[in-house]
Amino acid sequence: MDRTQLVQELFSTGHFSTLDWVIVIGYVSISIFIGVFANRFIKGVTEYVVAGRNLGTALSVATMTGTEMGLITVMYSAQKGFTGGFASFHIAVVACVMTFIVGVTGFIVVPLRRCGVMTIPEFYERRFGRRTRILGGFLLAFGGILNMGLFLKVGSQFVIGVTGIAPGGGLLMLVMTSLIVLVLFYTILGGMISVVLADYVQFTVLSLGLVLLVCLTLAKLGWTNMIDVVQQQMGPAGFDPTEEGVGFGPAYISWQAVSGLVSCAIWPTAVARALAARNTTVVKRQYMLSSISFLIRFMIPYFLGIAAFVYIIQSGGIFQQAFFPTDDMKPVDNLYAMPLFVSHVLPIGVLGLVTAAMIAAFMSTHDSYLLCWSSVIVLDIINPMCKKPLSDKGQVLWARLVMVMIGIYILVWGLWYEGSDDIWEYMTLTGGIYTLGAISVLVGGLYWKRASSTGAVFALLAGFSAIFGLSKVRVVLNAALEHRIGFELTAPIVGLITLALCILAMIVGSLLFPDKEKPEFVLTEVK
Amino acid sequence: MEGWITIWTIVFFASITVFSLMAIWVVIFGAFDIKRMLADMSNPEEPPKE
Repeated sequence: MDRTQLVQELFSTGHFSTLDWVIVIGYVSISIFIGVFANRFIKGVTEYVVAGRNLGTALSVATMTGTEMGLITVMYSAQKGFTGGFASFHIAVVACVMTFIVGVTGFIVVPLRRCGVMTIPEFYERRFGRRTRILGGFLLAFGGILNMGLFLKVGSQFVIGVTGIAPGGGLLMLVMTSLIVLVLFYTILGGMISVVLADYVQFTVLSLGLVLLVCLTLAKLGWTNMIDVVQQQMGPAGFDPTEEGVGFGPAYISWQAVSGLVSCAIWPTAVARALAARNTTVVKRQYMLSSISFLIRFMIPYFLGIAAFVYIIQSGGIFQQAFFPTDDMKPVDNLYAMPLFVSHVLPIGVLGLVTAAMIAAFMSTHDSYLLCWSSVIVLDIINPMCKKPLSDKGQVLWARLVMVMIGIYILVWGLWYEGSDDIWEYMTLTGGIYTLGAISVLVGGLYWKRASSTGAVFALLAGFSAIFGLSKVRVVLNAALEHRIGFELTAPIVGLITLALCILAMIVGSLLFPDKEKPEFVLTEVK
Repeated sequence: MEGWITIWTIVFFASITVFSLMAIWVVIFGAFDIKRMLADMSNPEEPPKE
């Protein structure tokens, strides 16, 4: 059997039925209705970007979970569980601890909410001036949109895997286009209000779907059996994250601690929820409660990835041949392992519900990201560069236009880019282009009086060095350095070096080039 | 390795339980939050209720 036949047979073995399609289509229709409904509440840019700063605690948690537990998260985390076994659970625990600490202390997010800013670069302008805002906005949008580049493709891979449509031909393109058009439709119409409402519905469907999926998986495979198989196949490295056997180790864990902090306290889509909260008490509660979501958003997909691994190993036959070929055949992309597993273990109807939950996860991330990056481009780059500030309606119009452009970009990038990194590594590094500079600037700006605008610009620019961690660039860099540095540059090491450079740039730049005039910067609570 | 297996077993089942409880709370009280948010936005003159 050649590879094409094997793939076709593999994908045709699932049992996605008409009832499952009806459930999925019904759910998608609800999202479209929400966009149309929310559009009536849009009166200006404040409603469009931060929902009038009116979110209560429960709704904040729903929308933050809906955003952060995207289908991309489920897919790349399942891939991590598939390759790293139970040891990958440490990433979830670290993310939970970091988010909880931010919630208890209010580190970064509480003073930011007090300022009443709508975006992080807006804070840059108040603290460091317009130049820093435009640069910060540009880097934020650049890193963020690059980061978002694989969302659509990976989401479409899930749909293909779970529904049993064999990959290849124009189908991936068709699924990707349909998904992005759908999300653009309701986000463009309703802005943050439709995002929040859609996230609430998505949280409900997603929570139910995931918990159900975990219970059915446990019933099918058994916890002890899963442990035994991982133990046989991966050894101690499948459980102990300090071992480097499956790609983890001390440097990796340290990098996850940094990623855990920036993904909740710096990453704009998460911070947008803090900025949209009713007051700072809600912000703190939101983060403390969301720490559970930050744990679960990794933990359940890791579990599903491990389950897919166990299922494939124990099923043998075409499954094992496809993912772990013994001959020279190219293995099937391991991102397909989890959706294929799901399509095999779930009964009809439940499969539709879980797929709807995953599409919910896909949409809740896309809508927030589209809104976030378009808001940053309009409010922090286009508007400050205009001689006459744009009107409220003009800003909303520009935001909608930019959203369409981002949608076209992710469609093209998703079809073109093929890296060799796990998706999680790609995500943390592209995000790091912005976040590693931003954490230095925000911490300096909020907590260090001597922080200057030149230091901020230096730190933001230093964040660019995270791009050296991407697999295609890193291979060239390692070849050029060869044995000169005595160790191989891995993605986590490049990330940690970039963070150190950003902090250094902020300190040195601020001490050497202090601001002549201190900005009038008061942390008062703004409603 | 046995230690890690015990840790991950406890962490996993505790997480699922806590998340399930939190999800129920969020779904119930989130509905009240939506009601209040839309009411506030429909009547922008009135100060939002804390």
